[in-house]
Amino acid sequence: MTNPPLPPSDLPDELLAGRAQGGDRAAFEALVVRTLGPARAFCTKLLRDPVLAEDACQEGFLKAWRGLPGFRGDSKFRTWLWRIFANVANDMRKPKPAQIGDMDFEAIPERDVAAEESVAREIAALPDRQREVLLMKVELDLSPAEIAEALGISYEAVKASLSLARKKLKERLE
Amino acid sequence: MTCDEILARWDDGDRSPDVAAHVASCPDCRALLAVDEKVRGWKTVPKTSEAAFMERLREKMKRPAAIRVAGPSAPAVWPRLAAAAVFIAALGAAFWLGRTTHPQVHRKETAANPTPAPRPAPVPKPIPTPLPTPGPAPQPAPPRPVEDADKKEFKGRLMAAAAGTGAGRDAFLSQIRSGTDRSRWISALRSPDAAERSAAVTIASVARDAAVAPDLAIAGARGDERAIAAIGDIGGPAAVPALASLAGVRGRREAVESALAATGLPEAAETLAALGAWSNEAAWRRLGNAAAPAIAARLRQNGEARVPAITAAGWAKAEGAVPELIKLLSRRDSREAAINSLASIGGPRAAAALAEIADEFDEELLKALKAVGPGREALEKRLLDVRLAPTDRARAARTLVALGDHAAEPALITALDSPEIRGDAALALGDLKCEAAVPGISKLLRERRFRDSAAEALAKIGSAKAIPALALASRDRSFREEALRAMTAIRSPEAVPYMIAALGDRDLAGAAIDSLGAIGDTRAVLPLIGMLDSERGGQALDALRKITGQKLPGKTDAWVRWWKANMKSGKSFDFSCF
Ligand SMILES: [Zn+2]
Repeated sequence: MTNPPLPPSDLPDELLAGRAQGGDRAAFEALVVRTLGPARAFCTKLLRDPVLAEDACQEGFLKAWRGLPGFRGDSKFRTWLWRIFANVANDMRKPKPAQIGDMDFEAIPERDVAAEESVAREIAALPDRQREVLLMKVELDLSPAEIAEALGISYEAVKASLSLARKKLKERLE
Repeated sequence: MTCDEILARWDDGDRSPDVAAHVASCPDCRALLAVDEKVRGWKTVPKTSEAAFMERLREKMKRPAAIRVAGPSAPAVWPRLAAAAVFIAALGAAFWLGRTTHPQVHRKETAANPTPAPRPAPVPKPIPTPLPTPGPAPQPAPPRPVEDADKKEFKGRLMAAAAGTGAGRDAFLSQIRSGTDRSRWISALRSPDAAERSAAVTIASVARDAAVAPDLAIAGARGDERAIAAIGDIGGPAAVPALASLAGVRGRREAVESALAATGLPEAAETLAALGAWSNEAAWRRLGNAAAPAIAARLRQNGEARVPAITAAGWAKAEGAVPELIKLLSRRDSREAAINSLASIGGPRAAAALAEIADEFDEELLKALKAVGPGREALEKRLLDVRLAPTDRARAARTLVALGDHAAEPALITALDSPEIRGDAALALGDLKCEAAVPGISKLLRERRFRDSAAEALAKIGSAKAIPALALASRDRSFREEALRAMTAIRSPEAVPYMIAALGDRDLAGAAIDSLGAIGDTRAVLPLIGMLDSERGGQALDALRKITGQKLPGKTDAWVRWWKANMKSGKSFDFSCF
């Protein structure tokens, strides 16, 4: 299987999105490749299940592809995309999330796997809303205002959740 | 400015000198921002390569949008096991051993497994504890000088007594209690003549004479399995050493282990442990709590017997080993096995220990808590224990939700009165969809600190009974959106008037239009037609189409005409709410 030629890598997201709206699959795929890393990190850390996270990413990009006509270009493409992801991941949240033990931790000597595991565990222990807001900030690099828009909650609520999440993690990871 | 305000500006991208200088110099702010780095530093490993991901996505993009996208795949057993195996490999394989000591556990691959994944490498069976050098197998004593005729005569009586019942046998039994018949009987137990030996063993199991255990051991060594079983049945202080002496004899091991278990003696458990008979589930079950001292001793030692001993403790339901098992819960290599054993031992002590470490994410623990009997009660106790830290009590609340046991609802409703955890209790009751908790949770809407949790919980419960309290709470400008959103989720016709009223509010109109579309109440039609020319016109049109099923264009006059023709006189219209 040969991949279709990708558009030049220096085009801005919004321009590629415009091409994709016109049916250009290669342009859309270029956007997927650009955003797959943060999308996966976000879904995996939020859902705590690598298999489910993979499905969420598929679903998120597919929804984006089909929802492209709804992208107006008045916001950043990523803000629009992450809003879709926030909804998809929310819908997929299982009633009983997987154990941290199901997560993959690469065995690379210079990494402190135990520390990462405790980070994972403490993130999992956060209330849903706080975990979601923190991960949108850290992994998706969204501003509080953008998070508020994506989640449909107030800016104040985002700031409060973010602050609480950081304080809890700081205290527990000390 | 407070640190919180500084950080909020920083998060908004404000890098003006005063903000930047504070963040650079304030240890608190830096520590909080370092959290982001720690979160980012947790490196997740994708399940597939980028190419494989793109391939799968491309396939889906080809399909027409009308086909509903499949939901998340059913949890696949093997990929998850494989993931666990990778994790365990990273941490040291010892952790896994606890599972492999169950000889019955032969996991079968499910045929329905949708995702091909590498099977976890087969885990080697634990190496059995090397046998302690067994004592020399009992040797027959040199034949005693007995007259041939006497010998023959005794053999006749012995065979008859063994074959018979009733008075004849009773007389024979009283004769062998002492005197020459006793020494003849003991000789017969050691006899090379299989028929005579077998008769002597039969008599032994009827006479239940513990003193002949060593002689029965010789009969056992010569091939009489019933002799070995008889030692166990008769028991007594000589039984365990006699059986231990047989442990090294080829082909007798299984019978010896069963007989040891049958004695029900702590020394027998000690011998089984020394023999490394950890996989003999039936033996440990039979020994029961008598095995506790031997098992507890292995649990205290950091030897290779520790992990199998944990499993044996569960089989034996060894109450006496519970304190040692609890200590092992904090050790990664023994935690899982200890949880399972505590679950099968059960009782309040085990339940309390499991409840202490439980959280909603640990499925093994949740299973254990369900199995342990008073697991829910132990969690409820923690939930309501004011001496515990609020975080521990909140964890108990979430664990109760994960157990999904609605019997926990009264305790959670009680916890609504506890200032430290009422928010968590409300969320837990929301997850359990507990309608009975609606009045209690509604009260929390008055408290600034808990009203977010309360609104979220009420939204999850979805009871129309919450509407009046939410409506009242929505009068507070800063909480209006959350309250309205909760009402939206409840999707009750009772909420419609409040949402129609919210249409006039710039910030809330969008959410209100969506809710009205979702509720589908025709009272909203006219107010929504009134929104068609506003900046929310497109959204209002979507909602109108949802409610009416009409595909009219977004022109106010077209909708007004339709409304006049179809709905104006409809009795579903009730403007009393205005
Ligand atoms: Zn500061």
